[in-house]
Amino acid sequence: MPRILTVDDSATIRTIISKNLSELGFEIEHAEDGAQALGKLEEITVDLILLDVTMPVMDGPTMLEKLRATGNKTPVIMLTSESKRSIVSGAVKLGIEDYILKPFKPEELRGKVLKALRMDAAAGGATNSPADAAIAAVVPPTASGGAAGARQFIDVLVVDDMENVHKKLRTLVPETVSINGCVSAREALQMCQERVYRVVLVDLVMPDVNSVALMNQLRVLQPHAAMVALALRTANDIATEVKSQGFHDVLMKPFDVDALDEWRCKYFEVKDVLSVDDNVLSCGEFSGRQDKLDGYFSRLKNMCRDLFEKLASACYEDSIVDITRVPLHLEKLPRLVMDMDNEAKKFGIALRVVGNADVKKALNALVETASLPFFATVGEAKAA
Amino acid sequence: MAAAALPKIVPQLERIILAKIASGKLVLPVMPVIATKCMPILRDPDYQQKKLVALVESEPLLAAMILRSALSAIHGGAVVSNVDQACGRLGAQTLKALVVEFMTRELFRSTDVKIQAVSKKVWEHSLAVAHLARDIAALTGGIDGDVCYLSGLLHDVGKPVIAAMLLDCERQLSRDMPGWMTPDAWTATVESLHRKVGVAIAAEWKLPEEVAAAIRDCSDYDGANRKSAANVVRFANAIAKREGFTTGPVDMADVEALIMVGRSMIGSDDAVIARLAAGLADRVASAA
Repeated sequence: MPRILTVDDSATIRTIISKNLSELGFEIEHAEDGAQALGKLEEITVDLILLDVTMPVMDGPTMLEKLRATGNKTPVIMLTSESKRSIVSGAVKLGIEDYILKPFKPEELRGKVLKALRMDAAAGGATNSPADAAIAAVVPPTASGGAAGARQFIDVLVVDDMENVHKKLRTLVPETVSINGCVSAREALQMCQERVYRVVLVDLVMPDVNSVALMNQLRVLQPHAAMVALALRTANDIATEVKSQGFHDVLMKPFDVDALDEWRCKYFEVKDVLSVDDNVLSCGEFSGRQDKLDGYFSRLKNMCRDLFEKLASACYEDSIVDITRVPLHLEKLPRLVMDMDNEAKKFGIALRVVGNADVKKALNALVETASLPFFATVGEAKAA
Repeated sequence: MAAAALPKIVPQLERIILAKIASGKLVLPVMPVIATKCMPILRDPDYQQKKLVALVESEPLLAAMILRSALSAIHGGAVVSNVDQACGRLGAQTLKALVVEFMTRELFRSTDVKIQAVSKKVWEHSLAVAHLARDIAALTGGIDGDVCYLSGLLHDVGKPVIAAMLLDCERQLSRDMPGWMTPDAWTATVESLHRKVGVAIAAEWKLPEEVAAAIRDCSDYDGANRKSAANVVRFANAIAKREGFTTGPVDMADVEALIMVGRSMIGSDDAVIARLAAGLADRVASAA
């Protein structure tokens, strides 16, 4: 595992850094000032230096200058409460990799450390921050504004050294759910840098790797993915145990069809049903068990609310909602559209609905939905 | 820009302008009347479109801008045949941004070729900063996107005003002092004074303090108020410069430093910045 040197005169900061990075499996070395750090670097080599600016004896910029003068090009992240342009600019000229302003969030520290340690593999890679997820709705698409740096979206990553586990899962889950598999931690880290996953399944018994440390590393790269442990059936309360270790959930091996169906309903059915293109929200079809239908409608409504907020932030005044593929439930469908319209109005957004003749008939059941502008196709709605 | 290279008249000019600002005697551009009338209507939660339409129709340039925007693809590209329909299509929020743009754009217009050339660059840079600042505010949350947009448009507003003053001086002096000011000296004078003039304009126009803060200092972040509009504009300003929307010579290490600090201060990452910058040139070109 890579070794990181943290140079800071505050014992508290050194402890916080140590705690956060040790959890990822890194080896941490400490120095209280620049002079002590230079001394340490004569004895050991490190893969990354986290450097404060203001310290007694020798400050960060001086230490960095002396370090570079010796030809040492170890990546450096400046971690400081100093935000003066002149100071940071001087450090940029000496080749710092990144900058973290104190106080910082653990995710920022972890994300930037991992990025700095994988400069080659991560070149052009994107982190999957909430802002990144929201940005597609905010920045209008342009001819040149395509997918520079965008990553491929995959539903599931299975990290298990037994390939037959991947194969079995593939046979039990519908083809609509995309699955990647890998048999080692190294492969998993690589894949998590290159793609975006919804669910990451991590075998609890991986050779030569602590699965919890691996999961924590993968979580930094995939902050929005659900981390699910893969465990062998046992009499112990494994679910409680893995949740206390930071996993969202557990899936037992060998796979049970019902449990797998439950798991799939939990993570995929609803999340698959809403896509966004500009100000057009397209609801997908429902393909799960009937007892999950209420959840489907309720989550669809909640997802729309969030998206209306983003559309309003992007100065959209109207939105087109395509409900052609929503199950034709005569009670739930009009109610859903009415709720959507109410949510949209809160953000000053006018709704235009797209559906077929049956959908229109269903919407005529409520006064509120019967009066909404209705179109047979998205194209017609856009032209209106 | 070495200060030593500046002709003596430059510091003298600086002193005169600063003294005029301090005594309130500097003649500053006034906010266009149409904008002062439109803004209260648009800020009203019970926004009355009819009132606005009547005002807009009295200002052909603003009316044309609103019609052009309503006809653009981003708003559906459907046919609108009058200002009333256009206002209905755009909505209060977009109209507010257009009025701000209209009143700011006026400051960057000049019939003089020299000033127009400078103003065009500053205007395009300001538009880029404004667009980026509004997007960053929307992504960050809890920051007023309108204030960020306005601050972005106005953060360099002092530049064309100083440019006009210098041209006026040149007309008065060039007969006796040909070549009185080198291009470098001209740039240095504009750079050293534009923020103070910009702040004076903000006060004259009674703009919000956040806007004045963004104009006052674009070189260092305010660590005490991480997610302020002024910080968003500083971040956007650096990104715009990296994307090539500059108004003069740029130290790229400074720009990178401001982006690094801004990313951590506001909470963003490289991917977000890349996506924000994608298509920026097209957006600026269509708004310019």
